[in-house]
Amino acid sequence: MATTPNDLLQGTLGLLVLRAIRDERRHGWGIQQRINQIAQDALSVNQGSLYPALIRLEKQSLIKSKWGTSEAGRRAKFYSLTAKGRRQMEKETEIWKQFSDTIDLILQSI
Amino acid sequence: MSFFKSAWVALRSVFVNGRAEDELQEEMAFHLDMQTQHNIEQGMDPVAAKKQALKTFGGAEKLKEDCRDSWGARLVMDLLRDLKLGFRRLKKNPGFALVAIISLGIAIGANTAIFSLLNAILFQTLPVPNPEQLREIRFVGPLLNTSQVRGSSTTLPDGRKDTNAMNHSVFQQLQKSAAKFGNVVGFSRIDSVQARMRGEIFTMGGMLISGNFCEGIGVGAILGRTIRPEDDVVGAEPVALLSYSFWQRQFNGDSNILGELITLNRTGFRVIGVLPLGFDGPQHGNEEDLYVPLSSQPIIQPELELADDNHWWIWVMARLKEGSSDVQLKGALDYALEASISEDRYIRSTASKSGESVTGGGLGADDPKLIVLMDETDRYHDRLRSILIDGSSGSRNRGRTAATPFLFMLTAAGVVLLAACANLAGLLISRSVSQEHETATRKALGAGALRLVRQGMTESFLLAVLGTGSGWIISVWGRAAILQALGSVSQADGLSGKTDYRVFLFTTLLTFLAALLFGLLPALRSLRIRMMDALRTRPESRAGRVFVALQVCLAFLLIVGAGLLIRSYVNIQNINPGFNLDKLLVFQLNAKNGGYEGAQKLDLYQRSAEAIGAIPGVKSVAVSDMPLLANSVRTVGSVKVLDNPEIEKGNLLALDVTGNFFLTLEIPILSGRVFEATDVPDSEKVVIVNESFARTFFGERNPLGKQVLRGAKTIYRVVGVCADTKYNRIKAEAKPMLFFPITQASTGRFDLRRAWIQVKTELEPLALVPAVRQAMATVDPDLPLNNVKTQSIQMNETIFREKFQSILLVVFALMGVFLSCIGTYGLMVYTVSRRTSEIGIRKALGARSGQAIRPIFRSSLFVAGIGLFIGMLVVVPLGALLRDQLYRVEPYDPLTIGVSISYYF
Repeated sequence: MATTPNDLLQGTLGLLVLRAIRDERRHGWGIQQRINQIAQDALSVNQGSLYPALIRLEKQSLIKSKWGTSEAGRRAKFYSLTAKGRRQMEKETEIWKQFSDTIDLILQSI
Repeated sequence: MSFFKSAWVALRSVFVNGRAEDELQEEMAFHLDMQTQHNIEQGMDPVAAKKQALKTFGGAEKLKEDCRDSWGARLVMDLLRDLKLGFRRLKKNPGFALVAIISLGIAIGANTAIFSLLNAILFQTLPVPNPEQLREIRFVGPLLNTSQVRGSSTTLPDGRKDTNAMNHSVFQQLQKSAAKFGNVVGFSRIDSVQARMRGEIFTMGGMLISGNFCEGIGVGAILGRTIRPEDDVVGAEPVALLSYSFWQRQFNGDSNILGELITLNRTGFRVIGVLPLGFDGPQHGNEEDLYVPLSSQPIIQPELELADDNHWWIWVMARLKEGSSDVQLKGALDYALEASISEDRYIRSTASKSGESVTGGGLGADDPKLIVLMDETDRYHDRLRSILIDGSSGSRNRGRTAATPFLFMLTAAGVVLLAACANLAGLLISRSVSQEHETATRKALGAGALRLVRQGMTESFLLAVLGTGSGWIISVWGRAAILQALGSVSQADGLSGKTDYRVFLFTTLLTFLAALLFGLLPALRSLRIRMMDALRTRPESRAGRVFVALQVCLAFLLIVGAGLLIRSYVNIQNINPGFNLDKLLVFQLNAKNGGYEGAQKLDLYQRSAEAIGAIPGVKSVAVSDMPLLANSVRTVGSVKVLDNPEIEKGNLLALDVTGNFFLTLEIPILSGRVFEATDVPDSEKVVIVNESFARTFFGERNPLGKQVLRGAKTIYRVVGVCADTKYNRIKAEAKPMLFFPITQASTGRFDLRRAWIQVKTELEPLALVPAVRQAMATVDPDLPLNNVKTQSIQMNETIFREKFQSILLVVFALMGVFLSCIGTYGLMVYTVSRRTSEIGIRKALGARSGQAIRPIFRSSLFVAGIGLFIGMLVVVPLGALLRDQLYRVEPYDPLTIGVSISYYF
């Protein structure tokens, strides 16, 4: 079945966001850039899904936000992982890895 | 994330909306700028860069909406918006809103008022800390050789007695023995004692309490101090506690009352404290005015001795100590009972040797209040054992006020509530239909099903809340009115009926139920509206008709019920009591409390009668030892007629009266004579009997001159026969009665301590009261006149319940009719507007106005008819339920039903 880039993203946007801020805190634009950059256009996140996702994740106490100054010197809202968020990220990553390994296995045999 | 956290975030985002929105705005702006910047770096020119950035951004508003959704603020904001809309709609139709709120208010208010009273009767515990630790203690065992027992006792099937009274010395042993496990307190009731304070005389009721009573039960004084163990010692200074209500009533809460003397039976007691509001003694529901120590009993009841082993008068309760169990307490009590009651106190009979174990007396084994049953070793039942009963509601000695009349009223109120809800549902439906256009538009604009239903329900809830608010106010007033109305009748003794959380819970529940009931259907209907249909006219909704029919049915039920009760009441009013109630003033004198002994008592009554007889305007005066039609009964034991000894009856009604009695009450003497001055204590004992007696014992023969044996040895000669009269209750059949001359009554300790004076006046009885008081003052200025009222009032008090119920039901019925009239009117109006085009067509085709309307009218009639029909079906089983409440009225009384139907039109 043909899937648009957006479909693939549905269930994993949260995980991607968590991973995007794994090493350093970023603002919304920064997160979007990082994801798009790494995925190299196979996926593209747009603001319409990103910001609601950020709000959701913050509600679940997986990320926390703080206003700070961007590289250009402007005021921006920065997001970072909480301890709970880090644990969640690791867990979900593990699940995804297992999932894709299983799929690989099946695809090889059939 | 926890529920509360998300709720908090949602709520916060609503109120802090401004700031959160601003922040979001800023964040978006930042993002937009960065995107634009990025585009420029990619080589676009600034204008194109900005445009492209905006495009990828998507709809800003939608984004904001989605964000808000994530916050969860959406729900709250929608609700707020619905509420505002609801308010606007109600304001546009003030008439509708008013009717809805008022009818709901009355229905909910009535229900709440009645329920709060019911709550007081059934559930309330003593207002002390940890009432669940309290125990009431009764005693079961073989018969004891005692002469005086004050309390309640029943005889078990196997001959053992279950009693609650203890004597003083054993009580003290119980206290000592059980001290480790519980605080054992004792008390006894003072029915009436004459008191004098600050120059006024009044009769009070109260309690004798043990020294540790206040501490054990857990009540403290709000003024002064409570009674302590050192006050409960023979020879200590007599002290007294007053109840809060008495203190307010009599002395207006004057705090100077501490230290003053209150004279009881001519001895001064020092008032040392006032108990808190809400505490009315260990027997919940009785209002005790006065509390004195047990040791002062000889002053209050001089005919009995405090430490007399034969005098069993103390009732016992206990508070279980922390960490102790009921079994331990019972063990200690039983040990004390065994040690302090010697073998020779018990009356042994062969019957008590059987080995069966019988569970605790007076109470069934599955009575939930019974805490500790007789254990295995009680099988011997050869001595007294204790039983522990849950005492959180205090001592049950007096028995509970009957809940039945209230349950009945609650049902009626419930019916009215149903009618109100049906009414509202119907009205709301008709309104929702007229709003079809609006609803269809909303649906077209994308309103989801949930949204529509929610909106409709919000409005209903709004109405329900407003209705409850007014209902609450009405219920407070209503409860006061009910209590007031019941006030003089003993059934409602001290029902303070404080509102507590249970009542509030009930009301809230009722509100939501009502909202659901009348909101759901119209709301659901709005779902089915399709656009095309909305633009056409449709025939009237079936649901609306159903509701009207329902209301008619309910109103009909109420009318029938009211009608039946009214007829019953009228019948009762019309019963001939056998004597003339008119122009009779009655009051009570208590000679014993006034300090009279022996023959002095009778002398007092006779002198009083003479003094009153001299007052102008008094036709005659009589004295009797019991009042008639006051729910009081005195019976004599077995009675036999000497020349026909096979007929023996017991428990016959009796009265000690003066000769004037028959004249004063206008009871016809059918044959023989009345008592005269020649009937003195030493002359032959005589008796006057009534018709029923004559019939039962003598059949066709003439009773005059015959001799009657009462008890074992007293012989009376019948000197007169009088007509039958009612005795204690107007509803009861006339029974055989004996009248003895008061002059020949025995003058022992307990005889004639109270008597009732009946005064027949020429004019209005109450007008003569001051003159009567003056006359009595010449006889004994210190003696209070108790319960002064007219005989008709006295009788009315006994049938008060019936009167009250019928009045209440009439009110409810009127409300029901009112509601269904509104409902029908609403339905008709709505139908006419619906079928305007149909009517127009008919008229165009030549019908006159009346004719055009007729089919509509007919259909309304049809609906009403269905309602009536169903109502009649329901009346049949319900009538059976009411049967025992009615007096000589057949439940299926056709007259009543006929009247009801005609009322409706």
